[in-house]
Amino acid sequence: MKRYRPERIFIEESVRESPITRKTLRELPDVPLESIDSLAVLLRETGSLSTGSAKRYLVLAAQRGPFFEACPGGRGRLGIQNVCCNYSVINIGTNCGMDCTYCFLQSYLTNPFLIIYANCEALFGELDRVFSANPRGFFRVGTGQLADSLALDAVTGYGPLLVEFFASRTNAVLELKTKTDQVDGLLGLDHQGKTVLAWSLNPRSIQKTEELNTASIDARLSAAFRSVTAGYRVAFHFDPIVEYPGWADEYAALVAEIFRTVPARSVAWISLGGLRMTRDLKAVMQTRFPKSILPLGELVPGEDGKLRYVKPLRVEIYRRMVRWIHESAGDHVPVYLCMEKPDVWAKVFGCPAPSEKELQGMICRGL
Amino acid sequence: MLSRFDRLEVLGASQLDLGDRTYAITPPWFPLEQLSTSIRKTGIINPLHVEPVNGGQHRIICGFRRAQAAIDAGLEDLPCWVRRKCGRSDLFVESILDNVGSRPLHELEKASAVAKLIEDFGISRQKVLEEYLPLLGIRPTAFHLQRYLDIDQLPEQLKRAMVDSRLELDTALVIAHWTQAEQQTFLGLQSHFKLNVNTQKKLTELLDELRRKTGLSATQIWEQAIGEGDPGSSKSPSAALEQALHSLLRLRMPTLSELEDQYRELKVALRLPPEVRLRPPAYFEGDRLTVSFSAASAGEFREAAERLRAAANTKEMEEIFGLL
Repeated sequence: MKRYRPERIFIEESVRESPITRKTLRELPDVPLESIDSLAVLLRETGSLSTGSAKRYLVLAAQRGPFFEACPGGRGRLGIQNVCCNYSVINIGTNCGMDCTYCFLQSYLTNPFLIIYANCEALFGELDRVFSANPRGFFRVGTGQLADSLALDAVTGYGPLLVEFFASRTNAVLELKTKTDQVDGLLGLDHQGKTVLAWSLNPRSIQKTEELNTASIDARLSAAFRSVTAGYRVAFHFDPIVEYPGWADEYAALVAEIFRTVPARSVAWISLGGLRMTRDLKAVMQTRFPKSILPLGELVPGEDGKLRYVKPLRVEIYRRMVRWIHESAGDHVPVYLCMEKPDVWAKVFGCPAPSEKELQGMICRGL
Repeated sequence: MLSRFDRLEVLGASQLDLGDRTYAITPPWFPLEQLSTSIRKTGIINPLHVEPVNGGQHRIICGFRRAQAAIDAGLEDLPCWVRRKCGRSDLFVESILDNVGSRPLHELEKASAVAKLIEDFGISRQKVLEEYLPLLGIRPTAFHLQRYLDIDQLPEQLKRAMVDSRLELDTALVIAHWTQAEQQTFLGLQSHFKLNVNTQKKLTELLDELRRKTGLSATQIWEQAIGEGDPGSSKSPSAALEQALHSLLRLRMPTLSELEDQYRELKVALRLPPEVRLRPPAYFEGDRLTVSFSAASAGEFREAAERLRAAANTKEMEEIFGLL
């Protein structure tokens, strides 16, 4: 895939000396730079840029709020309680240079810039405090909530710093989730098994039409293979799963291909999540990507207001996905659903949904 | 802005080039009746603004509708400010200001103004976005700028329908991507059923998504939907429309429709009295069935409770919960 190259870089003075900023400027020596007093000022001056055009501007800023927070997925919208896997997220940036038609950031972010929070010393200090405050707890943490974990890694060098930080933690594991193949900067690191490299996957037909500017499925699987060879455990996220004519054959083949590429014992977990979107996102998708087939699915509003495939359809999708995974990997690989309520879990797995603690124990059993 | 170089003159109607619409933002077919009536009674109170062109002719800057209405009313002489030494884009901006200051603009007029600023007068998109969208009462975002450029590109038959037969703007923007024949079908439905805002939106969304999903035309899909009712029946237009919308929904949401059918059949089999009401969660999202009943006496209450108890022990009730 093509490496991200911004048209312009804006730098907040407060992060000018950060290792992230220095690395970024070394990697992109020819890109015009502009100093800004603060991100807020920049947003006021350029608030009218569209989602697509603003991605061409990279902003290196300081995170002024907390980096670390509980994943909002369990809570759901409107207070609806989904089954929670006790995941946590650290927000080291927002937005990415890729352009998936279904990306929720299109209607979620209040600004469309590509932002990296470069005050990494503050990040590591905060994580240290969080993990030390609860030494008996176990934290499964990801950076892929509001950005792709690795899309800018070759430029910013955030990944190696994170992997090395987590290598010395006894009660935390890091997941770097991506649609890229940019793992080579991580392969030689002493990760101590505390980092899981994860890929979001869809069949090739969906990748080509709905996941624009992302790495091909071949490239992602090849990166997964290289990661396993370097001793990492890997994870896969079928999210969003898309229903279309021929979906079953293509997903079944992809599941089988994963386990021909990497051994089941190297797969830390697999998550499944059906296509979902707010009505606002649907409107944005129809405007930005009028050829996308995704809004044409049989989507109905759930209790949280989000559109999802009608329940019998997604229960059937999940059941078949679970069966295909078990056929290829036995029951070695933990499989869980993302942002689904207990009634769907019960129908898919044939038993009551696990508690937060039980689910985390199940997912992390091999770590 | 007027200057000492400008002169107030009375020009004959033949000295105005009504075909030169360089500065016009209102389509020439916009209704003029009210304005014509007013001008017939009082004449032109606010002079037109014009600029001289070759051969003694004048190009209208502000006042296209006034000029047309005056000519329709039989006026031969029209008071005009003859403008000199002004940049073309300055004159166009003046004409926009003149319109904005005198009446609320139609969305089509706003769209025409936005498109002309960029395409005819070479003003940058960023400047239009920042300076002129707010002037026109449009939110200054890239999304809205593009939306108004899209509105300007609407086919004329849709623009006319927006003015003549209450075709909604959002509907027009969706069906603008359809073929002309499909647009005609929709305009025919609009005219026949007098669709309100919500029904227009619902029907457009269903037809648009189905045509993209099936590859059939909106006309074919509509004919299929209307044909699924009883073609021989003499239903009222509203009943026929309701039936067609129902058929379209079944085509668009087959799994949900099947679920609803199953639920309906099972509910009938429970043979509950009408005062006992069962309600599944909306769209069958959720796992709880809501039951409500009313009673006017202890006897009625007991009767309803007994019927519910009997229903609770049937296989149909088990199957209903299986659907959730």
